[in-house]
Amino acid sequence: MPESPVLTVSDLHVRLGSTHVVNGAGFSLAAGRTLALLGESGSGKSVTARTIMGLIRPPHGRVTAGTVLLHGQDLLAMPEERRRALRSTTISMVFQDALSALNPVLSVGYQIAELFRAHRGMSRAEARRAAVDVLGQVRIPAAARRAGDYPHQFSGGMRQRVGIALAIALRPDVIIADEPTTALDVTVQAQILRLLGDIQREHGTALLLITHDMGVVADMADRVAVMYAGRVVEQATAAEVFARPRHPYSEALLGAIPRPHLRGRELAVISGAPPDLSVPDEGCRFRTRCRYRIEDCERNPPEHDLGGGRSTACHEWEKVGSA
Amino acid sequence: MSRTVLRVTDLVKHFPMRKGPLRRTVGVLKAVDGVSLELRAGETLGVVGESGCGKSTLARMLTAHERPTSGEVDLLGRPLHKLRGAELRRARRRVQLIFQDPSGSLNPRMTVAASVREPFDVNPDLAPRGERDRRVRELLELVGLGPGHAGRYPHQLSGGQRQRVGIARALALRPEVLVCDEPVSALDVSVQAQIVNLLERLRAELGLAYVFIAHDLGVVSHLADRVAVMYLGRVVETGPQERVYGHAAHPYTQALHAAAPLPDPALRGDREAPLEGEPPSPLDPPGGCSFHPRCPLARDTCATVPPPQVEVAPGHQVSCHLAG
Ligand SMILES: Nc1ncnc2c1ncn2[C@@H]1O[C@H](COP(=O)(O)OP(=O)(O)O)[C@@H](O)[C@H]1O
Ligand code: SF4
Ligand code: SF4
Ligand SMILES: [Mg+2]
Repeated sequence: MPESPVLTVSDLHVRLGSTHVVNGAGFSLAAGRTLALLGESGSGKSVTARTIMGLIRPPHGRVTAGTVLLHGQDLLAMPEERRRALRSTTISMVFQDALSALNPVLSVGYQIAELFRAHRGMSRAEARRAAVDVLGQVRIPAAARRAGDYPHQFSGGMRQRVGIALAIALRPDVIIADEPTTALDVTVQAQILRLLGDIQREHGTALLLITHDMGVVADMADRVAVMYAGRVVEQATAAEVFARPRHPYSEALLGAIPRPHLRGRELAVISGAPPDLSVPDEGCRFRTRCRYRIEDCERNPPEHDLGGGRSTACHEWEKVGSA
Repeated sequence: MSRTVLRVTDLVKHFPMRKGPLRRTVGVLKAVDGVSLELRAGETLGVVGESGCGKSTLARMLTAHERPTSGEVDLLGRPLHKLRGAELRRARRRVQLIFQDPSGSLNPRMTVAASVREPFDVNPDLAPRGERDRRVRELLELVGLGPGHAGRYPHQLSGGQRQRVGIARALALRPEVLVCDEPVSALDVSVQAQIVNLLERLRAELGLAYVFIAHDLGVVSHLADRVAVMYLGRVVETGPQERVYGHAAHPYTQALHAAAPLPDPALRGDREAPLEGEPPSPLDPPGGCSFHPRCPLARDTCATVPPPQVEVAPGHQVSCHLAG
């Protein structure tokens, strides 16, 4: 890969109860770039994100293998206090619904100011000014006045701005945004995506953008990691995946989107359903739905490195996307 | 031109907002505020708009789940808004509502087969007792569910399968019109495609007409023959699919097009600046053209004078001072 990664996840395995929800997730995110983690619901995107953030802990969940390197240091191997010190300052997260990250009984300005007091040692007054400043950066109108409002007083779109303000307050190097616009109306989604893109360019932040929406990927991402059944099955630049997917699942996903030239025709479908991850399986997890399936697919495919940071986990990758 | 199966004229639904122990009326929420639409046999009318613009309220009035405050719903030549009792029940069968989340309409303790059979028990004249099991099997097959699904309970089904059960139940009543309220919005893309294909096949096989409601333009472009765009309880633009997609004339429709992320990285950067603000509350809609606070093209008159509806091309109507 040409650019140096700030975040590298390798061979991550996570269990929730007896279910192996993440089975070999791996990708790397370059400084100042956007990597989209793309997959359908239940593919393990959120659990991967929460594992990176240290939010998956026993007894609910257990990381059974893998590394998460942030600036070369393994987050999974470091003591909890060191890890906590990195959250907000070096890596932070925006959730689908910002309410889940906010305390309902404290004003939003107070909650952002607390970050500055805890991590920057600012006085109350300085911290408050800094908080208003951040609310202005996420383009909340009348930020000084609104800083005194409580989370429920904000509309859906404004709430996501508050969530972004919390995440960017301490200028982290990496922001993970988990479906940050999925619950929003299209015109508001466009505003929030543009805001994320602008902040990222201005601050040089790396963005791990989790989404199920191919349109969002096309609009925002430099690179894409496609996830299926807990595994990253393809990694490539956004342009490459759209031009020529190299994994049958990526190809099928792209075929299922309605496009103008498909009007009046049947959309391609992925038959069947995702596998039950509580049942152990030695084969390729996609094989029950795959039209390229061969006998070898009873063995889990290794990751083929196609060069230039591109990879695919498929025995038959050479045949995919040639149509 | 095929016959009209559903026609609504000046449809209005206002909800009084009450407060306090005496439940005094403190305001009126104008959920639907003067909508006129027409649906022809075998046709799909797409209705697009953001949350809170009145789509679901409209859907409930079209299917007699809600009575309009004023205006008319004409279903197959009968005034649905006026019917009562047995007449209403009979008319209602002809137009069925499909929900975004079918779980709400499925009894968690009933098997798939029992759920699909229920409409026959409620309306015994639909099929003689001895034929009902066969009809249930046919309906399940029609929506792509096998005999293996018949004995399952809703929680044992995927979202897409539950949606199929909901469709089978609706079809049991032999409707002519399905009003689909965001039927695929909660589904993953690949499952969405399955349901979209199913709806298209049913339309062809059964000659159904659809009102297909969505919060964005994506799937509607694939399915709809005609499209109506709603904003704050009103239709701001309506026309043939190729007009509303290729020659959108209302600034709000244009903004919806600009906001839709297209699945093609080559188009990145061409995007116009997104529309500012969020849809205002239908409790206190702006005067004049209700879109004026967000409209990039608004003039002084837009804040005070409601725009007239202008026909900019055959069958293509736009409510905007700049249209025409
Ligand atoms: N707290 C939890 N307890 C048990 N299972 C969970 C929990 N959270 C998620 N899962 C399961 O883990 C799998 C992956 O979930 P998730 O990471 O949320 O996927 P995605 O974000 O891609 O939709 C799913 O099968 C989901 O049901
Ligand atoms: S490994 Fe086999 S089953 Fe899996 S995606 Fe490739 S061809 Fe399909
Ligand atoms: S009438 Fe005026 S405010 Fe309304 S859409 Fe047209 S230009 Fe914009
Ligand atoms: Mg998720």
